[in-house]
Amino acid sequence: MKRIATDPRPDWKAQAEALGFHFHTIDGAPYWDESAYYAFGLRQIEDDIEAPTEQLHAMAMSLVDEVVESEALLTRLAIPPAYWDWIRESWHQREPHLYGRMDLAYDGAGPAKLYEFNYDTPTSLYESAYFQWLWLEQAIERGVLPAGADQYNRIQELLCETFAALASEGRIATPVHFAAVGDSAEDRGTVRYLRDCAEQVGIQTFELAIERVGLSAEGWFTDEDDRVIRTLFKLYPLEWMFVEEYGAKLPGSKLQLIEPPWKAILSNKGVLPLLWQRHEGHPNLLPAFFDEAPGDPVGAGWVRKPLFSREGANIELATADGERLRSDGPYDDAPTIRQAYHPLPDCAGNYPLVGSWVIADQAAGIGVREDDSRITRDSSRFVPHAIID
Amino acid sequence: MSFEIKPDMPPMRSKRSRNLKLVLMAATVPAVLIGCDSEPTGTVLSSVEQCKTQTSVPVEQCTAAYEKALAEHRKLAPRFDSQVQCNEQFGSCEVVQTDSGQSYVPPMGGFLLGYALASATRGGMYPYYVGGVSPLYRDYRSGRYLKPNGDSVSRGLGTVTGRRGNTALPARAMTISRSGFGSSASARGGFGSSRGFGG
Repeated sequence: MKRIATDPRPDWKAQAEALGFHFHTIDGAPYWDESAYYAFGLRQIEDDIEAPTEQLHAMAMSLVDEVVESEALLTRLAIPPAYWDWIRESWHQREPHLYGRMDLAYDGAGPAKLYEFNYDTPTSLYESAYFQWLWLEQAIERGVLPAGADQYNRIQELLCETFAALASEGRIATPVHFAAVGDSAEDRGTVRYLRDCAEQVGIQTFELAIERVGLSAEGWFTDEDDRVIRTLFKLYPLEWMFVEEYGAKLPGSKLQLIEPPWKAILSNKGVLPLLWQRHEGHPNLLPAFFDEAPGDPVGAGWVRKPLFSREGANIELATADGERLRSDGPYDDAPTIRQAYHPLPDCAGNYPLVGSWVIADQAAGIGVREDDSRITRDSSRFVPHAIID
Repeated sequence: MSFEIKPDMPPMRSKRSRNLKLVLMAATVPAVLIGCDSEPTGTVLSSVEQCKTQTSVPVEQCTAAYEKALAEHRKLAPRFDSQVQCNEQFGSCEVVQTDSGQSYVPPMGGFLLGYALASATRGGMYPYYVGGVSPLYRDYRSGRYLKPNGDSVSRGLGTVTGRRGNTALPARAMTISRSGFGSSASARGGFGSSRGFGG
């Protein structure tokens, strides 16, 4: 695995804008960055990333099977009791899920280490699945990469296939509504892209801001035109929905959610210590524990993370030499876990994090985000990758 | 034996998709899809008498479900302005009074028992419990049973699979409140940019 500097396509911005990638630059800072790419070998991809992704995913799914039946574990994960039955039932009914991303620290040698699962509201989807793919095709076309160059990326193909299968098997009701926070360009872009995939396989879709979801007298969720929402893809954390005004209406309504209620378990950082308890010493896991002294400074060689946290917020990190780093954020109201500190590789001051995608239950591809700090935050840049053997 | 060589094929073990496109983000035409079915999710019965002969759910639950279907029928039955149009599709339509005058509704031609999965811990001699119910209307032109929102459930009586077994969601309903989701995002607005809340 190497970071290789290269010339950006002269027209990449124009292409991005023509293809709906309006968040290529965010608040004036570059997000899509094709001034470099990461080159992987095929063995690295298949043995070190794809196979462990499938294994970690299987471990996560059996953990859900255990957690839904255990009030002690649901309590440990700080999931409100009012939602336990609903979550359990959604698992028993095998309510379908669409996608998830696990973040891996990988330096090209040795096992990739699982940082965390983003299994409820993962983003960086469009740029991983489509724009990165387009970049590779054009790099080959332009002769910048050899004709045999490849990319680990079947993300969009599997997204489309999954939507088609779910609709044709009647496992999701259609039309499907898609919702994200109204004023987030990035999240709106992500749901627009997912709608695109659904429409490609003939599913009728609608889009609205999560804030505009309504409720009827009968307890049905509605859109702005009084259409009853049957299936709602929500790019909005389940644990937030739980504590908001309409949360209590969810279990009794006939609304089908994607991601489904049982994903509340896997979006929770508490699964990291639970996995470690069950698979201690697994080469792709880092030692992790529930935090017994959250008020104390985190010990050298440990990272503290809130159970509910997104985009690298509210992380506290102490390296083995005692260097301390912390990120602020809005997620300071939940219990925390400790995870052994395993540094990201340092590529000339860039710290790449591999986001490995799982669509339905299949390992599907990766996207690399790098930051100039050891905590990958929402200031990170997306850098494309290629397989070059 | 000979092998055909296709020079345009990508490497044999390609790890990426061959062709991708966008339709909404860069407009073209969507494809159509066809499908198949899996687990039973409900059953269509024509009358309350059939509750006694079916073996999928407890009889008393079935009878109660029928009563509920009748009540939903009064609320949710499709309404026609024209008696002729209603009779053409369903037959024996009845007139009902509404705020804006008269309209015509078809008779309840049957009902859908939606199954709740009976797990091992629940036990009992029936494989399912009633998870929901919907009144159904028989379209005489196609022979199909339709839900109040017009979705087709089946061509005849008996087991149905997939989302067709999901019960009684109308296409539209009057919204009486809004903005019950989203407060956490604005409360955390100090996060401070157009960046998202996804991760």
